[in-house]
Amino acid sequence: MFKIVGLLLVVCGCTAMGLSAGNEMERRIRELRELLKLLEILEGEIGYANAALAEAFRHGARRMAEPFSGFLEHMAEHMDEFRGDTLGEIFMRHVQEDLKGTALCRKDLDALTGFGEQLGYLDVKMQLAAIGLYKEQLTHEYVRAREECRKNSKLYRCLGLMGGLFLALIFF
Amino acid sequence: MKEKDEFIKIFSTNIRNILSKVNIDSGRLQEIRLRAGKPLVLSAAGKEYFVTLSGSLTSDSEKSFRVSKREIEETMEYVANYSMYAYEEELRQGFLTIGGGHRVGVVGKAVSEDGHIRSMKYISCINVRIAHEVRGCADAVMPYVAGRGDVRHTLIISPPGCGKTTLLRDMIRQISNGGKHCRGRTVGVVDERSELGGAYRGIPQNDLGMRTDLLDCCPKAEGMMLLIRSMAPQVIAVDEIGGEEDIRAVETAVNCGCRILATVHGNGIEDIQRRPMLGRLVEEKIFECYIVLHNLGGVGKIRNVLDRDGQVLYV
Repeated sequence: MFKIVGLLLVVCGCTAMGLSAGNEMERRIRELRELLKLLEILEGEIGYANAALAEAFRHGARRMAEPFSGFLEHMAEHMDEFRGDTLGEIFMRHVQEDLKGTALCRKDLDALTGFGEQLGYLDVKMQLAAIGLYKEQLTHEYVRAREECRKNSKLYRCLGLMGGLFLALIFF
Repeated sequence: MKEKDEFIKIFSTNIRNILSKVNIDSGRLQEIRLRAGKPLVLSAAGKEYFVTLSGSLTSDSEKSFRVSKREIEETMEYVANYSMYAYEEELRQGFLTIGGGHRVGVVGKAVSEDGHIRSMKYISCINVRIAHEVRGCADAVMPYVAGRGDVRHTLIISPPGCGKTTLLRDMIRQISNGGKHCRGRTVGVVDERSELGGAYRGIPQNDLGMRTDLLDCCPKAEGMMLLIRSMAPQVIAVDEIGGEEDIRAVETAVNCGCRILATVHGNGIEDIQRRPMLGRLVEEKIFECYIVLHNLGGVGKIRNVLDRDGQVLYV
């Protein structure tokens, strides 16, 4: 009896792992899409409203889902405190603190930090160019992630279940 | 100075620490000047002081704290709230307005295009001019500006730095709120350089009265027309008129039935008469009241008040 329960647990555990891996891929896609939305908002705020960054972040925070909403809000608050940090440092800190629970990979977070270092200087045209460049990279990453997800998420889920069954057979 | 003073926040952390130790009433403070590699200078009540690292005031420049290039850069980051691009137009004009209505003048290397300044880079000197509201400073002239229940077309004539903007601001406030000289009027203010309202993110930081509509950072001529079309003001106030299009806009506003309050640089009515466009307004007796200021014996002293015929009403 205990053996059967144990084997069932192995099968369930492995299936859950497969499902989780597939879900993580989908979550990353959703989050990359949120980042693209953030860029659209910044483009509008900077290009049309000529808003300062803290103001643009606050407006963005109201229109975005968590954890990006909190990320933007915390950055705006930090910027208004004038603690002696550069914008790049503020951006890096809040990417690390507020986006650590996301499904975004290291490469995504590094690219976002790098984008933050480009903000704040020069003229509006250069700001929009920086946003445009990052948007291009992000779109490319988004398309690739979707393609990977389409190919692999089912595979991960099946592998989880099959792996579980395989282990159950071995232990039986 | 106290940390709570809003303008202290805009300085680099190091300078902020020094200024917070300076024992001076911020009400008397006029200017704080930062120049790369030069002493930190503070002006208060018409006197200039150097500031030491410990925050004491001295007349010996050798003892003064010297401002570094990095501190200027850090200060600029805070002044522009990390968004230099958002202040392109202001930088072109050489100043930004911060919360509290204080004006931050900046100079460095001008980037020119077609003979006009496009931007400013390598900013090396910053001058923070502390805005002070002087409530009641227009009390003496209000009977002439708004006596007998009506507001008169008024021109304030003054050399630079004699308090014409401060006087105009108080006149706007009193006319807008209403009082013993006239009932409250709807006042439209075109504040091209954010000096009257000291608006920060569109909100006036200075009290311009309860019936005032402020159009911030808008060219005067265009702004006056916009206000007439959109806000139906009874009184329009503008600072430092002079250009051809400003004078035409004043004429249009007068013809639309608005009362005009304006300021102009000059030493007296004679200076104004010599200018081609403005002189015509004087000749046509458009302005019903002239207030002439000077700075003998203190800033913002009224030399005299004249009527449309140049007759002295007040000395």
